[in-house]
Amino acid sequence: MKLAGHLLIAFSLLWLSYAWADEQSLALLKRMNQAAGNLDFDGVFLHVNGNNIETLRVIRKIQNGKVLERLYSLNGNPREVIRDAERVWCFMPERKMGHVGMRADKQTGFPGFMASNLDKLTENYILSTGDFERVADRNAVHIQILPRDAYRYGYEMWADKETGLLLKSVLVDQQKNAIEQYMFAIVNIGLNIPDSDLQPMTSKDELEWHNDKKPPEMIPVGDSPWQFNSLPAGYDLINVLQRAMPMGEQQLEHMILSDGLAGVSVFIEKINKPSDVSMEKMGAVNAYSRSVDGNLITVVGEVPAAVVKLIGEALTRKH
Amino acid sequence: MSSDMKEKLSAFMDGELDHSESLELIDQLNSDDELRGHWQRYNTYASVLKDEVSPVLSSGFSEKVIQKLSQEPVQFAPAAMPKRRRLAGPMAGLAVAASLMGIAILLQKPVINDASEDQTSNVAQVSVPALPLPKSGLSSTEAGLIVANSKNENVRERINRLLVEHNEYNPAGDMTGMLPYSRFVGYNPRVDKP
Repeated sequence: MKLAGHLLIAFSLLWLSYAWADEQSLALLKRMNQAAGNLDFDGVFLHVNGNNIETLRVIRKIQNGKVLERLYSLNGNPREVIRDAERVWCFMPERKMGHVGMRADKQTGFPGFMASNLDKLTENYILSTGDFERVADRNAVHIQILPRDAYRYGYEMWADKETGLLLKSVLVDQQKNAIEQYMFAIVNIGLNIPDSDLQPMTSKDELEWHNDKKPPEMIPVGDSPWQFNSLPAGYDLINVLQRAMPMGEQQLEHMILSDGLAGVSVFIEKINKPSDVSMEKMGAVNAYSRSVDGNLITVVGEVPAAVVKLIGEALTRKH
Repeated sequence: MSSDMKEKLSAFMDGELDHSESLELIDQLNSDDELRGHWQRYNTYASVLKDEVSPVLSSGFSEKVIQKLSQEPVQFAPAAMPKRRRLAGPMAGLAVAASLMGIAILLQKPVINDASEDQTSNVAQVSVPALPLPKSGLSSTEAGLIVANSKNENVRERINRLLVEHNEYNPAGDMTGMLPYSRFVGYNPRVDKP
């Protein structure tokens, strides 16, 4: 029975190699997640979206234990976003408008990617790590999170070997075709960042500001007056929020679905007259809208168009 | 397949059959499709053991193997210990231990347990039927969708604002940080018009 013993060892080693591959990938993702939360950096990166290429600058600084971030485009309209632990300020100088929104409450609300169960992630994606490569003049390790089916996109990522900072991210479909890319051209990590670099180029006084009057209120999923008759395989409804329409007074219901990595948002708002069914494609983001019983349903997410459509069509009001 | 035949195959692979036994087995392999299938699988397993095959195997390989193994009882405690089984005892013990490790890992895949990530969630316990899982081909379905990109900038601008809220609740945003806000910041009606 030597062979039987060999076989069992072989399979054990195989399973161990799979488990180690998952663990290794997850450890790297965890490190990336921590880097996104703990590092000061200042970089210029490219956002490639279809035929559009944007050059943007992102600055991040931890000051007295509080994180401050600023993102702005180096071309075109001088829009920018400034974010701290509680709020997100969106500047739209071309419209003379701004919006202050509340950040997701990670402590009590949305579980986030790294709190997701690995089983859920590996049910829908194949994780693997690759070789070291050079990105933005730094050594980076290649991580793949590839979709197991056509209901979702995957990621090819390159994380800084030294710090774990995400240096390059490519959203890919099942055939590994690039849909959207972010890539740092230059990044300085851990340098002293002057406070002035975190100040907006447009004065807040120049804009008309719209604020969230109160933070989104989370309601038990079962209490929502809406339900899904079916969902694309792998997706679950994970949260339901009630909130105001950004830059508006209208109350919305915000349903959040996820497959462990990809997120899909469903916004439901009351309307006075029915709206046509519409599909919008904005780079990697697909959006689907339709009217149901005097409500406008809008489904958005970095997922294939068919997925937002399936989710939008499956939503019905409870009787 | 009988346990005697498994023994013979094992011994043949280990070069422990004499000349006449080998010829007899080769004849049987030539005439018995099922036996030949076992022979091929055993060779594959042996190659894996010797690292001759990449551990990155085709999808479904491991499932097929498990299925086959479950149909082929393995004797961990043979009654007799003939010469050709001399390593079975210690090897089997090691194998069982290794297998249990593997199975334990399979049953309990690692979950990140950092206190900072030990968050309660409102994860739905609502059962919703899942649509059939496509292995591929959704792209053709997608191509068939009428993607009527609106020329109404207000519609696109509205979606753009909703995206700001969506970004905050996108699980992948934990890794990508502020990068997805590029869509809002880089939004330029002159360029984005279809």
